[in-house]
Amino acid sequence: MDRMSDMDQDTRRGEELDPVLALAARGLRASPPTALPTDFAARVVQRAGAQIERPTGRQLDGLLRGVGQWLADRFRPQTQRVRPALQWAWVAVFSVATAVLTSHWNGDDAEVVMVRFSMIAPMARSVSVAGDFNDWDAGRINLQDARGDGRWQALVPMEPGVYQYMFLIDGKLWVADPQAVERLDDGFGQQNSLMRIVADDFL
Amino acid sequence: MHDIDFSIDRRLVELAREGDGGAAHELIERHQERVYRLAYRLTGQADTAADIAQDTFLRLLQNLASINDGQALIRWLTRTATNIARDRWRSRRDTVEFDEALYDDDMARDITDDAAASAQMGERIQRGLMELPHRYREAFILRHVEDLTHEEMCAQLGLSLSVVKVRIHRACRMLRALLPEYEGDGPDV
Repeated sequence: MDRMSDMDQDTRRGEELDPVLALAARGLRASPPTALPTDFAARVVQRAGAQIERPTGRQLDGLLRGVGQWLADRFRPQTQRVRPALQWAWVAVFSVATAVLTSHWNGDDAEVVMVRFSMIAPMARSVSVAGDFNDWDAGRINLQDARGDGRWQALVPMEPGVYQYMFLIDGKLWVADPQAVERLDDGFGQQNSLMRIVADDFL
Repeated sequence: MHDIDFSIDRRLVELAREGDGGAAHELIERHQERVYRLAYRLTGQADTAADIAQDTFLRLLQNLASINDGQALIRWLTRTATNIARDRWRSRRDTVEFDEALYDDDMARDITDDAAASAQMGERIQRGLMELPHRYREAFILRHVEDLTHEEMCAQLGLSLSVVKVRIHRACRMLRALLPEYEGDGPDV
């Protein structure tokens, strides 16, 4: 029966294919002997997302921004979500700075501003940022030390607004941004950094 | 031949274009086997085919704005994978050969499992296919394996209808001459 249905396909195009060649075409429709890796799609998306490390302003399209976020969601490390007391002695933090980039994109729904979170922490093994923009989930946005020089950075698409945030080092140490212009009591005896993101159109 | 729900592809493309990485992942998973198979049939090498598939999808993620609908996606993937395979063939024609390690001469023809028999036959024919010049191998695969129409092939390859028909005709004649052992194995017609 399979042969007949395949023959129907071979002849429906109005070409009477030689029986041997019809057999050959059918054989070539079989899968290759070696299958793709099971994580092939994830690898491709990850590789595409890696380009978010080298953004080129307006050329960075919405997909790559989204891919970066999706990867952060997919490969998030196990981190505690309850904020502990500040423990400054755990790791040396030389400086912390966060910059709101001027580049932005006009999407269909809302304007998006790229915010670069940056921290110099040579002894840290991991640095992430959490705030009310991501439900204080410290596992979702991990900063990268791409050059291995202790400068951790992440570029995050955010909509204009006012946000509280803090950095988390090695999954244990919560650090406020000392260069933040504004701060707000967090209810745990510490202060959160406050960020106001204003779209260019409203400047 | 392609049992593909184009409306799903269209929606996935829209979502991926808006920045949904999960949609991009699903889009790749839906088409990766077909693209990989096409690349493998064109090159005869599994590793090279996987590289071509990866490059194809990376380009897709960078060019989603040019994909208008699900059918356009299929055409785009086929054209891009074919072009990448052709470029690689041109640059590595002295080194690209059929992956002999994947072909077992001892595989007997008395096979009972249909899928295994089909796969084995595919590899035997692949070996013959690799004897063809690339442009004729390409023509046979696009026409008789991927089921493209003559008009689609003209658009994909940038060739005139007469050239496409000549290539298909010659490809069939060459491949037929390379597969004498299948005389009598053809389906009853």
